[in-house]
Amino acid sequence: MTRYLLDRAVQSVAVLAIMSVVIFWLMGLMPGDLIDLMISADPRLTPEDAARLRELHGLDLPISERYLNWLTAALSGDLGFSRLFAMPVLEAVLPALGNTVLLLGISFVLAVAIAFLSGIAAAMNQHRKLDYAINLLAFAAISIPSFWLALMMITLFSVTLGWLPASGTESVGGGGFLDKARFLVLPVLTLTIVSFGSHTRFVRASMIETLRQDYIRTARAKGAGEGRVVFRHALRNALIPVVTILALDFGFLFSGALIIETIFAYPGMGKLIFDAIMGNDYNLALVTLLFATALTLFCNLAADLAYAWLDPRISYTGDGA
Amino acid sequence: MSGAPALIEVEGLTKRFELRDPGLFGRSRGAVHALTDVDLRIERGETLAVVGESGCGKSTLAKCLAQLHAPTAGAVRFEGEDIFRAPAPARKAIRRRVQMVFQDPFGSLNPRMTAAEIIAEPLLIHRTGDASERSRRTAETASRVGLRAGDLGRYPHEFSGGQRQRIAIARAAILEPDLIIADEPLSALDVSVQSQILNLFMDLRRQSGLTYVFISHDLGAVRHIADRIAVLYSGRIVEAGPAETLFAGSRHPYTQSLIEAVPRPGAGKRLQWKTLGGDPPSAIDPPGGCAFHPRCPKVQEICRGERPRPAIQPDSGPGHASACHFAEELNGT
Amino acid sequence: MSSPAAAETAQPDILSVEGLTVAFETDDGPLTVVDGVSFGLQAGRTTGMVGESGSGKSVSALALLGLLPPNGRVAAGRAMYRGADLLALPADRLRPLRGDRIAMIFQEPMTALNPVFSIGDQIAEVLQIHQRLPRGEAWERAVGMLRRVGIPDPATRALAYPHQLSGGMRQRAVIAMALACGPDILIADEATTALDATVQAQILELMTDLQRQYGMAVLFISHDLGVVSALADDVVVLYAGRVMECAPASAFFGRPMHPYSQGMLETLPSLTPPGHDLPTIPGTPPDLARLPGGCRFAPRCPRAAEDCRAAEPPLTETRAGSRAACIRPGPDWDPAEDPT
Repeated sequence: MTRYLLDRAVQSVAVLAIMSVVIFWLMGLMPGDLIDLMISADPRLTPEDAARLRELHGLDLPISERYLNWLTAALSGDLGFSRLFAMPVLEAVLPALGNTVLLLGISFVLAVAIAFLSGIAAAMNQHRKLDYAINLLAFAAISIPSFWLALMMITLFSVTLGWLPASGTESVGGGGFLDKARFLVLPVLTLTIVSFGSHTRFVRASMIETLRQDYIRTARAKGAGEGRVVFRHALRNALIPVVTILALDFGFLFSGALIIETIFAYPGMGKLIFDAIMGNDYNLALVTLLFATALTLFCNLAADLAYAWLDPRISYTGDGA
Repeated sequence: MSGAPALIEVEGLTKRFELRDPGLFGRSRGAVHALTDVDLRIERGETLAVVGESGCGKSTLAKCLAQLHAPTAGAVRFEGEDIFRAPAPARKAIRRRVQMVFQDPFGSLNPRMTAAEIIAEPLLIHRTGDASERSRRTAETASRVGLRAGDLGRYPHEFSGGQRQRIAIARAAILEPDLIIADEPLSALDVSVQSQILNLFMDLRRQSGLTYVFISHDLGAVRHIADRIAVLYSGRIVEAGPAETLFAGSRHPYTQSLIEAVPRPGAGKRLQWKTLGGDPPSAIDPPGGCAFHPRCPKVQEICRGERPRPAIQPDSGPGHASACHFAEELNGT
Repeated sequence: MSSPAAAETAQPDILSVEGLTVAFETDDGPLTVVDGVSFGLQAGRTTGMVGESGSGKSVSALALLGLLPPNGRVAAGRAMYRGADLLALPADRLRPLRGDRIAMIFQEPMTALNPVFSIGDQIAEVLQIHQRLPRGEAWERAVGMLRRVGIPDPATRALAYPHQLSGGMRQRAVIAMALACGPDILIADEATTALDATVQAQILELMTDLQRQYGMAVLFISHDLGVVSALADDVVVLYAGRVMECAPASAFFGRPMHPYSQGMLETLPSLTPPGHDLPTIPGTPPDLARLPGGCRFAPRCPRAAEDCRAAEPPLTETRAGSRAACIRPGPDWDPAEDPT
């Protein structure tokens, strides 16, 4: 097991290293740099000043050297300074990361819970009315564009009904737990709705497939009741493929969060990435994108471990068959 | 046996599949010893049956003969030419002369091709004839295997299992190969259809002097069609010889148990059994000494330590070899 | 154990199936896959049910246990067990019988066992369901069952998952699961078909032994006449959903009365000298949606005549204890010519 984890850790670091090169290089391709922004902000800068500033920031060096400089600093713990927020990058990223994990975490748990309940119910009633109704809802949820849903949510619950706030994380001047929760409702609801549909379809398909297996017939032949058949014998087997899909889907959820956070002006990673790229804040964009990558890698690792836990045929210890 | 090269001669054939953990730092976990040091001669016009239980290496042997697997060691010679060391054009020419029929007539036929397309495909692959000749040969081969001309435009799912196996046999026979390797060609078929297909194999042999390697676990069918039998256990040949000799006077305890294990219809209800204990051995960690010793009813001390070499049994029929330390003593059991 | 068949047939049936008819709902309307099947099972005796794929043998078994797939239903018939009709019992009264009084084992021991639970767990579960044993005690009993079916080191093996066992061990575990509650009836559906020859022999031996110990009635479903011959006291032959012949095993294998039974036995390669063409039954089993009129075997039957195509022949007694659904039954096949 330790060997497997070590293996995965090395792989993850390799992926992160490659990603950092790719992102660095892509950002180098973007037109304009920090100094161009400074010039546009302060027309009094002379070309000599600009050249001096470029040298000062190391921007006159070739991109490979700039990358190495950044890497050296990053490895020693200095992730650079966010020009946009006028603070060290890490200080800007950490609260946003916390907000995003909260938003994604709650939405994910809710979407998965709804997906399991509805997916199992649909599978047990295949080709009956309940199944059709759940499928209809799931397809509707898959088909709704997330930005449109977010805007409709705001229109309905914030503008028309005035029940819930449309943006931010807390009331001006700060608020308690309840206040913060009120701010979360709309973004969480939107993300949950856009992701539960496909999850429901996965759970339903996996469950139907599992219920067809020979060992389900064996369980019935043993005299097991329907509840035992479904929740003890089928569910765990049905979960195995679903877990993998859910982990892959987490990346999709993250990109969904980028749109949702921007619309709800929710200060999370998605919005931070968006702001950093739009504002040419290299350091910040680089680090936020790497964090996003790391989060996705972590979810995949978690899925693989869950996989091994669910399925005794999967062994990472090396003593399995 | 003779100076002329056999149609196929297998010498020291060994096939191992490495087992490796997934990942960048995956360690090797040993290997599956599918075949070890197999020697065989198949003469032209002869039918050799290869029998044994699952995991004994019989399918791997078939795939090595058909060039679907490259052996780890040893040689397969086709009319004296070592096929795995031959240049690519020569290998392709040999491949054309060695065809295969698989167990599952559902999985081995492309569901999107018609029967005629499936049967004619080898002609296209080996660029044989023009369109009119190809369609003539397709029709001719189809009728040889008992398919009706009207069936040729239909797709595999429209046929029964037996008809599908006929299509697979036609595909193998259309190039007029020297050797057909049939890997469990009956086991997916219904009982009443099996005899039809077995008869078809024998018909084709009579018509065109085909040579067969017939891989099967069904000893009844094997006894019926085979001239010679090779018994595989744990990737090695433990006994080989003329079919009737093996059935009448096997000189290996495994072959004897295998024959004994198959219930014969009409033999009556068995209240006493002489069954072999244990399971077929692991191919990853085969037993030392004689691989059969953990299950052998006649095991002695020497069997645990020393692997018996296949030895010709001069007092039995011609070409009868057994890899048992006590082969002579098993006479007539 | 081997007392004369006549004395044993006097024993009352523990299960008596009469006119079992099963239909499947298909896109082209209902399809009758089992048509008026009747047979009886007796304690301590094995009934071999033979037939090719699609003959309705598995469906008959599943119907008895109420395990038909959702599109299948019992259209007619009775299956009397201890005064109750299994086919008419509501689900909540049939369920307690399944796995307790009537157990079933299936063909593929790999897929019949749940891959994510240990075999000890799966055996113990039967006892937890039916005898409400606490987990620890059920586990102890499960280990005991594993020992009885000849699994070495059962306490350790109980912890193993199905994929960690060989095919033979798995089928032993499945048998242990089926016999855990000491059933009156054991239905084995192609229980040895997926196994290697030497392992098949072990399992057949085990089943013979266990039947001696437990005295249950066994319905042994197989397409393999050799296996049935080694195990069965009585034989029921199904063809395209109907019983063709029903006879004590010794009579059946010695002198089969129905032309289909005769054909099935004659086509076996072990009965023809090597190298000679085998006798065959021409054609293939009929499509159940397009059955021929009259006897459904008539199109393939060497003895078929005009009257065979007129009406489906009923099962009629041909000799003591034997019945065949044929207008021209008779022993064309002479066992004296058996070359083995």
